[in-house]
Amino acid sequence: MSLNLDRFRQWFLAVFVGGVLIFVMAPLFVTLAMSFSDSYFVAFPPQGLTIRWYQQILTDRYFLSALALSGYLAFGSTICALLIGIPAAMALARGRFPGRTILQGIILSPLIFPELVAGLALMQVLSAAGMVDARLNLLIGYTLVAAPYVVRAVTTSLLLVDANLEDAARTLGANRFVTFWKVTLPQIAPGVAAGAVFAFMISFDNLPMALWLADSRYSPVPLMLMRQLNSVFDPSIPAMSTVIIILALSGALVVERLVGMRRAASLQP
Amino acid sequence: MSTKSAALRLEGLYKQYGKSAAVQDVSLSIEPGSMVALLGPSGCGKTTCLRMVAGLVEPTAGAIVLDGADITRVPVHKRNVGMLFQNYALFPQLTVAENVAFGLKMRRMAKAEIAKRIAKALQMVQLHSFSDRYPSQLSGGQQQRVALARALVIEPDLLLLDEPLGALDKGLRESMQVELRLLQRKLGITTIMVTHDQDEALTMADQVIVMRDGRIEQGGTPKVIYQKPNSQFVATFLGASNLFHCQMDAAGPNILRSGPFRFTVDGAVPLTANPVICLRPESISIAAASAMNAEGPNRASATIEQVIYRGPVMHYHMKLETGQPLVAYEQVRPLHGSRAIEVGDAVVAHWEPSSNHILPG
Repeated sequence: MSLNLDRFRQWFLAVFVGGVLIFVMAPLFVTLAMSFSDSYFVAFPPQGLTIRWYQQILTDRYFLSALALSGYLAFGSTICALLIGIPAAMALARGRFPGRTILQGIILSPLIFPELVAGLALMQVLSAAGMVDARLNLLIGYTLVAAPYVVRAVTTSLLLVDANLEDAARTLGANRFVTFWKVTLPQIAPGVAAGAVFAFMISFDNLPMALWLADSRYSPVPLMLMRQLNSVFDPSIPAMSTVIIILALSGALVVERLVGMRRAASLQP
Repeated sequence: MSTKSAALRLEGLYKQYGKSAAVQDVSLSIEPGSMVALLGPSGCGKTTCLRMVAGLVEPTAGAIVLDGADITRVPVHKRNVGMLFQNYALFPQLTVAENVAFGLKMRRMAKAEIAKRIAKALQMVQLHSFSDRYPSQLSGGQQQRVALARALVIEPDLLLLDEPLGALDKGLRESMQVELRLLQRKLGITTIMVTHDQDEALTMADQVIVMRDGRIEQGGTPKVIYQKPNSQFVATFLGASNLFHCQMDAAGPNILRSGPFRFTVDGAVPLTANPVICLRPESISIAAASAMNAEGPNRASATIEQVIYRGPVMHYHMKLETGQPLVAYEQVRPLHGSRAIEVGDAVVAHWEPSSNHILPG
């Protein structure tokens, strides 16, 4: 009787996990498949097999410059988000001051607040301030969106770090900065890396901010894809999407490897 | 390793957190080279005191004076104190040797000198063969030894111990207590220890400071604190006590009465409003009711309720005729044969007048 029940549980688990996997992965494979379709419109299942769409987009100046812009912006806003987010997380996790939870709520609010609204508000502030460089405006907008992810990931890992380690370092003669650099940072490296990956991905494929802050000269990839979709819906769009998916995946793998190495170093057998 | 012995004085330390005071008016003078234990229940302010001495917490008021110099506003990293934590606080990403080297590197010492000192410090705690291991590969006792080497290698003016042995099991804790005390004496380093374990405080310290609600309740040598507590709190916090609320007795100036029981003290009873007699369990003897008369002072007839064998000591839990409990400890002496005191036996508990210690009510 119990054997049957166990078997039923195993089956149920397998089916359930399989279902979730399909739900998550299927769109990626559909996109990948469509990008090789030898047709003038997006089709699934793909008709024929060709790589000409890849040849086309990888020589397309607009796509390449949009990709480069997105890359620079994502990189830059990740750096900015780390520079703002790590000190903020330190204050939230270690500080003892009145209004700490309220401040935490405010700092994390961009996670909940509709980005379309935040983007509109930001655009009005920036234009009132006379800032016209779309690249700078986008960098500010993306940093705003990305920083809460860093704050959250770093705060979580800071709470796991034994505060006594920092106290021990300070009694041994390290000032606050050295203590952070030599003791705290190695401990929270996985959290920092996770926050950085989130920040990068959030910036890289952010559309709502770009809708308000980009102009015709400087359009990041998501916005460019949107425009392309409205004009021609040919397999170059799934091809571009596939390129983005691969970039994202490799970025995540690189960081995972870095974090994994850190972990191995700290728990060396 | 050479350490100089420093004298430490705390002058009216206060620490306020919001509206509540964690530490109030703590003044204390510590002899060079001695070990002081701050003892008290959790939340009594002992750890806050220690952290103020370390410089990790800034006092709201008061002064910390080290060898005549006021260090109250000196930042922690310039104070030259060694500190041990309950959870060892070793840097997990560094090896044993790198952990010990941390404080020396902060002092920008030459590499050769650092290596020499690490070797010496690890030798001192008998872990020289473990220098390339990581903390996670060591047992709790070994980790605390590394932490001790790390704290002492910088030749600190003060050694601060924050419940240093609390995470170790009983046997190891007791042998570490002795070892730590021997090392502290040998180095002659002025030491403050925080603990909630009265045995640990009595075992290790020259002076025990009992704290309660942010204030010092009583300070003194272990013997004084144990034998002459000045309050019911200290009496009950340090080991078991039998307490009797008394009135003066008309029969004489040196007699106190609690219900049917009479207590005589050497000399006259000091004038206290509601004196309380504190009677330590080990000062009570037990005789069979058939062998002794229960009349007279410093005696009480009782019924045995429970007999507990604790190895070297027997614990007898009794019930007096008034219903009050009474606890007595008796040394087990195997060569003298065993006494047959059983649950339910009628006995007479008796003690010497000098055992009657009077507390304010």
